[in-house]
Amino acid sequence: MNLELDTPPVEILPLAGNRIKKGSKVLITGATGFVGSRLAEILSIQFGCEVYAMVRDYSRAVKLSHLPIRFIYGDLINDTWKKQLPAKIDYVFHCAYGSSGSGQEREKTDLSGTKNLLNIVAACTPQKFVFLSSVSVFEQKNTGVIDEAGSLKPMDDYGRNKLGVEKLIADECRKLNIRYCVFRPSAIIGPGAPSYVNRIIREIRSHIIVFVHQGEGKLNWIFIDDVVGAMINATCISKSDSKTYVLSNPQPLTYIEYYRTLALSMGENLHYQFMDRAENKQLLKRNKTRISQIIMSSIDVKKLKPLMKIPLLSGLLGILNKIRKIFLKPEGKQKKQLSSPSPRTLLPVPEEYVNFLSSEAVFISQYLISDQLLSGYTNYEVALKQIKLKSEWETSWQD
Amino acid sequence: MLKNKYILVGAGAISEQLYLKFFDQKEDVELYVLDKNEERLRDLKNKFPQFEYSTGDFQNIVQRVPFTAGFICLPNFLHAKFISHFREAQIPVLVEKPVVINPNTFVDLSTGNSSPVFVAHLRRFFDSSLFLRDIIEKSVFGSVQNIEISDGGIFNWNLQSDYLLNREKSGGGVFMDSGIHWVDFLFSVFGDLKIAEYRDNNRGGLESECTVKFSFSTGVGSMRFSRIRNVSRFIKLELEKASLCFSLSESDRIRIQMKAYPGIELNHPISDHLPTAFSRQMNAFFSKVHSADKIHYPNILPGAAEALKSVKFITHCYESRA
Repeated sequence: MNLELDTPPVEILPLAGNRIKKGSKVLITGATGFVGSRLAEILSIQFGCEVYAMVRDYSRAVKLSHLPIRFIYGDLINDTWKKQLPAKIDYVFHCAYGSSGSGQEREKTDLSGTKNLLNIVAACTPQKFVFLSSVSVFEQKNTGVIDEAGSLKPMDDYGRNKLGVEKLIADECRKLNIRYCVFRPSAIIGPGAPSYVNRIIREIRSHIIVFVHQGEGKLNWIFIDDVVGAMINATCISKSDSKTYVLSNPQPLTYIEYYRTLALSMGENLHYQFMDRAENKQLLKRNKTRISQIIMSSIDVKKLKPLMKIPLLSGLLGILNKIRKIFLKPEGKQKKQLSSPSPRTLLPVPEEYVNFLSSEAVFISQYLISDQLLSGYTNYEVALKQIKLKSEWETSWQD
Repeated sequence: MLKNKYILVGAGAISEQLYLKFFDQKEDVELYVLDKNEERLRDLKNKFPQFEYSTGDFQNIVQRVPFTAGFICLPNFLHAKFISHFREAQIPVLVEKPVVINPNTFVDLSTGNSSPVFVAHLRRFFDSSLFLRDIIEKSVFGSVQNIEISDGGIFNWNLQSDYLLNREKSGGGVFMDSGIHWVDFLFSVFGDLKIAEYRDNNRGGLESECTVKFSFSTGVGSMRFSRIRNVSRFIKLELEKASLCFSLSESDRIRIQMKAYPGIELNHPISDHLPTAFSRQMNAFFSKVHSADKIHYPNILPGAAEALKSVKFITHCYESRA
């Protein structure tokens, strides 16, 4: 039985003379998320900071429980957590965003939540407020370079909310006299990254991968520790005050390259399909039908039996059951297809993302290195090695 | 006929998932649920309207209502205080594991009066544990030479408070929370365990992974627990004449390989079922409280002193950490 307790290394690239001071009090919002949890780990272990990790869900906080950090429980949109804060906070890292609920609820978490956060932490007189935004705030171009001066035109609610929060931070921080800095990272990769590693590994293993535009679109990636490193360095580099930075490795990969190398490092073969726009549209139509099939098949009529005693409901449930049976037939066939992956088992890409996935534009920062927020970018081989180590660690007690 | 009255202190996830569901099936009891969280009680009242709910003071309620017995399902750090309250009120009590988080606190408590305190170590009441205990105690395949235990998974209990994230409130991390089930099982079967090596991933908080090497009267063993990654969940026993393996992912059988017949594997059918194990534990408690209640399996429900051995072992492991 394997009894090794390996944990991924914590070191990040040091930047001479700009280290955050040991014992600094830092507040991290979204501390159980991918960036927030790595920040909490590095700030507490490597830099010896007094970390206050703001979390909404106790269960999710368990993954940080081995660290010497204090938890602050609460929701950004109210102030019930205010009294858990210390009198003084040196730095605030705002990584939280509305990740659940309706579009309106997400917007409320992002905008009202950030305003509330700023008003509350202002009393703790932080030296700097660092916000984690996204390149989603930019207009999507098909070619060329997008840097800090790029045109701002988000393509979805996530990007729109991020942009709204950026503007709010600029206004409020000026009013409250708080120094701030904003980062717009591209696709963040690293050990356990939910969107760009874990999801893709699942896709690779399920053999259901569809590339639009032959997979030649550019994946603008950045390694997690570069994101975290730049955010930490921003606390003590005054040149970064009131500035917004793009955070993206200047050497992007094509999607197909990324999937292929990730699959290779996992010891998996890459099975994929190419799909053009027309075919995607067709599949989107079909997929809508499939979603309704899944909903219908998940209704357990047996569990609803007590309701049968009510005459009107009894009739309705009878009809529901009949419809359900009709829907379940094609669902059965679908399951058969899924058990042996075939080239036709395709997942369509939401239409609005087709342009995004086929774009060959490259994100580049004009100032990140010159302002000494990073001394260099982590190269892909190192990033891949770290991802592989974490993936092996995740399964090494499954013997 | 008068109904038995019980009091459940604490309305967290375990109370809802196990205790309230259990009492939901009983018609001849009155249950009072006590908790400070009004919103939580309202939520439970919607789900289980037949019970009484109160945010009131424990002492006032026990003076008013003649309870037959009670249950403590509170964050670990409150166990000692409420055991003390129950003993003062002369009410037999079943407390969730760990009995206390500081073994020394309990020594003071045990010098008080004598109403019985039992501890919920549910692992003992699963089919698999009852079978393994029987095999070991009756030396069916000779003595045990080696034990391997692996348990855990990414944490997914719906926590209602922060107590599992705070050493002062929980007494420890995954070892004190989940590992204690297996430590208790080993103590109950072998009587004593000695630590050979303990390691964990604690960096100044609480361990979310740990490994333990230990010895016991007839052999050695190792355990590992995690709540941050999915692990294989099993217990493997190497005995003189056979090896036995129970995997929690195959909870309907115990695999047996006889050393005299290599290559042949026997499956002993079992049925590990959480509500069944919980019912057994509750009935074992009722049988201790009302001597008239009979049960058809060994009454292995531990008392406080016996349960304290596991807490002491885990505390020693923490202290032995380099």
